[in-house]
Amino acid sequence: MRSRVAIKLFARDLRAGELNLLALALCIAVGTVTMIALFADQFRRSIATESNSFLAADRIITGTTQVPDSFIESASAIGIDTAQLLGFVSMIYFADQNQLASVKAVSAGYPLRGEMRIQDTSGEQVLASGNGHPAAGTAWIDRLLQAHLGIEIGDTIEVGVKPLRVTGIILSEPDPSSGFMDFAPRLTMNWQDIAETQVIAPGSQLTYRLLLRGEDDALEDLRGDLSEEMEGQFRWRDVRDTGQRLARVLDRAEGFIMLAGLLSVALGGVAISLCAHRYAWRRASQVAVLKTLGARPAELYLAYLLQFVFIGLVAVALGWLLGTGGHALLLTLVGDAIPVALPDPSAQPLIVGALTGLVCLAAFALPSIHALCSVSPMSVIRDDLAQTVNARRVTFLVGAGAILGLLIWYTQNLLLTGLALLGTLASIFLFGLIAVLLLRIGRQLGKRTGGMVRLALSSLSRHPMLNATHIGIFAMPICVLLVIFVLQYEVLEEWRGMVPENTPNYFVMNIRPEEVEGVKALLDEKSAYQGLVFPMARGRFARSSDGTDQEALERMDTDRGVDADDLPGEGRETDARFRTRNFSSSETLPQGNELVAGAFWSDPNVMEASLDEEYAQWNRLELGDRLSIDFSGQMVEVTITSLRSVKWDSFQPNFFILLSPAALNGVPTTFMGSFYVDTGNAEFIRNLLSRFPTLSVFSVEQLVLRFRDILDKLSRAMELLMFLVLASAALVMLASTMASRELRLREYGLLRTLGGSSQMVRGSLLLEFAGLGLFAGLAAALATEASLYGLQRAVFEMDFMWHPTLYLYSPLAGLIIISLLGVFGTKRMMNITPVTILREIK
Amino acid sequence: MVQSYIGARQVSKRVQVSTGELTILDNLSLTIERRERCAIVGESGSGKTTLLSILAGLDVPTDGQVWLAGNELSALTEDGRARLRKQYVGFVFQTFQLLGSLTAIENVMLPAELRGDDDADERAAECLRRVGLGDRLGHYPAKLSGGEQQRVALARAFATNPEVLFADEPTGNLDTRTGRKIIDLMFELGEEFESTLVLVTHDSQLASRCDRVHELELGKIVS
Repeated sequence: MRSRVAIKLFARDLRAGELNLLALALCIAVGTVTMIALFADQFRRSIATESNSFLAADRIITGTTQVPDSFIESASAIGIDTAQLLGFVSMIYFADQNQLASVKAVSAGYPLRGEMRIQDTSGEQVLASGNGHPAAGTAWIDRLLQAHLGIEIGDTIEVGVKPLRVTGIILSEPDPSSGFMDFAPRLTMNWQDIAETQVIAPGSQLTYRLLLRGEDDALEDLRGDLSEEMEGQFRWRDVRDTGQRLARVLDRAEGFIMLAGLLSVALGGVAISLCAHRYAWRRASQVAVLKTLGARPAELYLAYLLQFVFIGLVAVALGWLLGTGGHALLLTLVGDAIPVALPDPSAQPLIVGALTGLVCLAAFALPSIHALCSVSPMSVIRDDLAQTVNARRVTFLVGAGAILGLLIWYTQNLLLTGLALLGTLASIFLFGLIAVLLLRIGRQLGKRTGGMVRLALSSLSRHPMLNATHIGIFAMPICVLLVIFVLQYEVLEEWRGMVPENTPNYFVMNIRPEEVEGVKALLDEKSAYQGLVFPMARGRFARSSDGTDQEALERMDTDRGVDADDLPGEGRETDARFRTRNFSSSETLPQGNELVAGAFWSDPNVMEASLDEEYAQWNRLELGDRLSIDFSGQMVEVTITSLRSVKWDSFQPNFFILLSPAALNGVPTTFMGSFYVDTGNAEFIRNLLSRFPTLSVFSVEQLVLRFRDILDKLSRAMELLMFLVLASAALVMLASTMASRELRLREYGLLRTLGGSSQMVRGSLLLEFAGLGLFAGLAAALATEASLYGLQRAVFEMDFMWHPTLYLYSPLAGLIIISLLGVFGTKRMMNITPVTILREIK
Repeated sequence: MVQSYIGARQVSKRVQVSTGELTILDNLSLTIERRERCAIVGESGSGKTTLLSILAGLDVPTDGQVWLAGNELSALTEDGRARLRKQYVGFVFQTFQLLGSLTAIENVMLPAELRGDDDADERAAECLRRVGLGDRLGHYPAKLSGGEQQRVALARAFATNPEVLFADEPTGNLDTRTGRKIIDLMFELGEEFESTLVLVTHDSQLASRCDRVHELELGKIVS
């Protein structure tokens, strides 16, 4: 066979519409995968940018001494923008009052990421990155400092000996946790004024930051270049180092986006495979006839390869158009609802789309073509073509291998890919077997019924393997949809739980014992306050007089067992043992704490201590160890009787060390608590401070707001992605319906010819699809549960729970969707004569 | 046995089935001369179609030798047999086996195109006119009646002027009247193209029109 004939054959197939379904499936699959990959890629990168605004930079170098100029020069040399920040605590003076505040001095260029919102005399100002710094000689303060000192815009305050005119009130700042004392009243001033304040002296507690903004590769290069010079003095940080809470949210969001992309690739692959298989099946008679006419296998290979290459390339080109067009259209339609400024898409999604199409086409079509080319021309005479192309097992293995390879390449995450794919496939395979059984039972039941039910059940059981396969194929998109829906719902629920309504946004400390009732009363009246007040005493570890704690103290001196970076805040100081620290007490286990060992308390009247699990691990402390604590000369000896896991990201007061009520009995304490008041309710804080002037009120409002803002944006991005995956799933279902269309219609035509009424046969076909949908829905529910178990436990590190409602909704959804698709897919055929059907599908 | 134009010597065909080995052809020998018209008759399951497939090089025997157009088939590969079919053979099937995606003329052009003939379309049109379908050139098989489809198949079979025509129950899917017309046409074209005809049928009346009749029973020639 000459290549000219191959081209002619191809052109004729094309004209006759034989290639339409495959090309269409390929096109749509490439299109949807490209579109989802484009969004996923943009969301991933915008999340990085958005979350980096939490740092006000992409990366920071932090230390307690000023960053050398050589660092800045090295950064500038490779195109990285820089700005400088110094955080320190200083007394702020106004009129005859003073207040300790967290001061942030920033250089020109600040912030490199995110924006600053301030209120000045002309109203609210949004200062984009690069402009969020006050002019030299001026300062911006937050509402808390304003409330503490009663400052108005235009007043002059003093930081050290430097007078600064207040020109704005800080409404929000990109990096609310960048200061030395994160939650104290805050002030932002210009870098140039630092020297004149004269507050910088040897021994001052200072945090210097060099803010960096640039491409990831350049930043990594810089990190490598500076690693030796930073050693011991400076640390390289990214946004994930700034807190467990944000790191966990980002991990979740990225995991979800990756999963959505992965599932769309898998669904696209399945849709292509179904159509490729159908295409090869329909080509069987052509191949056999060509062989009887003298065509050689090698020539046939060439001819069909040519077709596939052409289809592949055209479909990829059209798929790209579809994907990028759909992406652009969606951006136009729902652009306002997309929460973040999306960066320009990169080329990677286009490659993902094209590779998905070409790899799946090759993996699923080539084995079929191979099988076709080995078709015996005898089958033309025997008319048993359907059997000769039964290369399903090989095709399935090659195809599944290709999809797996593709997914691993896409996600670079073997665990996520393996769990998502194998869990789903294993469950569906298992249920396929159960389906065969159910179908057989169905046949027995069918014998006792009549009419269309009997017809439908007997039709289902006539091809048990084929129908079991279809059940598996229908189950997959339903399962994917359920997995993505449930995961999205549960991740969002968890996020809502992280920052529930009325999450405390203020901490109040230094409450004297005699003020507790008064403060409680005021808080009860004006705020969402849960009545929790914790006693607090400063103390330090010491050696006991009798030496019983000797062994524990020695262990604390040896190498640490965990990475200090795993501990939040104060707990990771390397010399924590000798620092004066806060001790508290509680009769019951505080909210957000979970007991992991021992008893809380064995007896409240005994001197006991409960430690944060990681803190204990860090200090090599164990249950039963004895510790001595020096509270201003008053020695208290306690035994560690329990370990707790503490949710540090709960915005509640948390403590590394809690003592039993008996242990703090008689020790002079103050009290602390947290409460919620409406955003910007400076009046209430002013009132509280005027009634109790010695209180220290700290605000986490900015942190809560920024955090909630990011959660909100991520949630909406995840919802959009979920709908895109829904579109992919619909495509697979349509392809599955089309794949089995011929067989069912042949039987339909036959039954009509044998005298079955149109209504009866139509009803039977509908029931058949409904049965398939019902079984597929059940299979999907099981597979979903298995996949969720794996994903939630191993990838998302969430608590797994059973989803009993799945077993109701999933079969119902399967029944409705597959019935509708079945009716849609066979609609045209219902209106034409049986003989035409038999002729067309022969 | 002297090498013949078409021949089988001690040919057996056995296949494995679930219950063991099944013998379809049992040590069978026959010869067919050039331009001879030969019928193979027998009951269903007697091995007629298998014998035709082996003689045409579509299948290979388990034992024995086969000649087609003077070439010994067992010495040839699948490609070699394909080349031989392309050069010498035309087929007519019971189920027509037209390609649904091709029009009538394109179906008829196919063998000539496979041979690389430049005048494939003119010859195909001529053949279709010869079988009385000059006005149906652009029709797809689904739009043609059974008789018309078989006439297209005949036109395709004769489009390359084959030396041998293998026909497997060519009237099996047609009514008596249409079947008779098709057979008349096939014999007429056979005469015209001087083709050797190997015809598998269970229709004794049709078989009687041939020069020689071989009757098969349980894989053996009984007359």
